[in-house]
Amino acid sequence: MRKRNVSECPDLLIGGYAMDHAEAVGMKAAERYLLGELSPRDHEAFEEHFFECTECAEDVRLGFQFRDNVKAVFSEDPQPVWRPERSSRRRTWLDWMRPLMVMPAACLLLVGVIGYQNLVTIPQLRSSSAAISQPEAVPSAVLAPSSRGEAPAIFVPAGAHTFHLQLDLRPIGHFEKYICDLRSSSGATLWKVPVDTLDPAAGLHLLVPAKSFSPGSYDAVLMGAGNGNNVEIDHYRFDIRRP
Amino acid sequence: MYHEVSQSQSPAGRLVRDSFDRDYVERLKQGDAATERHFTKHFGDLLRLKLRARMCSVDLIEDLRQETFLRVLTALRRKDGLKCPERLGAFVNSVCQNLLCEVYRSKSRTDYGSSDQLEVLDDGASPEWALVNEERKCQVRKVLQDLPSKDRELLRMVFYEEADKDEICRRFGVDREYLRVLVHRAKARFRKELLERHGDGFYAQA
Repeated sequence: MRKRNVSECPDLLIGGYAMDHAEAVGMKAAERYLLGELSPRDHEAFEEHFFECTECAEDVRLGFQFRDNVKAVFSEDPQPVWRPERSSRRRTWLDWMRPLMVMPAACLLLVGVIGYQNLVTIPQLRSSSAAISQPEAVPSAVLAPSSRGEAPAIFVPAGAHTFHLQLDLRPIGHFEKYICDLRSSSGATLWKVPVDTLDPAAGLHLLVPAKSFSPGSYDAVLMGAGNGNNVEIDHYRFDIRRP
Repeated sequence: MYHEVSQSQSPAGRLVRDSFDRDYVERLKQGDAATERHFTKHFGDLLRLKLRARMCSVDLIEDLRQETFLRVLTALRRKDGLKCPERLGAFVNSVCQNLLCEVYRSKSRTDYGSSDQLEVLDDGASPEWALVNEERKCQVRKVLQDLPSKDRELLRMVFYEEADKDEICRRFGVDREYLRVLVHRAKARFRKELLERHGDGFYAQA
């Protein structure tokens, strides 16, 4: 829509904007006019337009005719024909959060969690807490570094949860931290144990879960870590045996 | 057509615009009866639509129509006349618009309140409107019956109950554009029904 230049038609007694036919059709001006939706500026511009445009004038006339007859028809039968229902509401991805959906889901989830806790988690905790709630003799071995002779054997009973390894330490250089790898005979790392400080006089004591070790030969590798590198300090061989 | 109104064509070949020429205006100035009849019929209808949209009363509409015709013809018969005869339609509209402004100012001065408080039109008051009749109601019923019940109720709320449109849209979960498209399509169906019944000449009966 363009602002009309008064000099282009001095006969018009009002200023304002000019609307062309394409604009009127594009913005559904006839429907907006009927529904009372045009802004005052568009309202005046469209009125000026349909006073000169047969097609738009007919469109406006037809709209009024349709509206008046719709009113007349409904005045004879004023009962509502349709009531908006909840289901007619457009669905969104947030619908699953409605109470109707959330409450049963939350109840199911709660039952699941409680059941899992009662059947699995709590018995496990009881079992493990029982294991440490009383003194227990654990299989143990003292390992010397890089022993060339026969590796010490640890007899781990079937019911044992853990076994104990004591690694004797030689005087070693200082590292930022230390790591002890427990490796199988094939060299695969089974456990990696971080160690913050080492006391050569006390040695390094490890409590190891027994079920991770089947009978066989293993290696405990002590490493110093610093500047992004791991340096092997000592190897400690040991055998696991089952009665 | 009997009168000298040239009809320009849009690029799509559809009739778009009445273009009144100097001869038509000249005959109006000279008081040619046939031309005056055409003038009052053609612009009388448009003025009614315009004034109805402004919620004017039937009496006020008739007064404003007559006064508009009088002022337009007086202006045409002045010595300088109408400089752009092809803009006769826009000129008639502007005369009526100025009259409306005068009415609003007059109402305001006599403490009638704002322009919104002009007497509201009673659609059924005057047989002259003649927009509603049994045949058209029957055609509208057909159009309404073919609509989904939701759309039918929307039209009822908009046109019969004249409820707030934002509230309607909120209740029915639609937007204003949906309403416009619904009215546009229903109107197109209504036009089709009228054309099937009367052919191209139905507008002359409106």
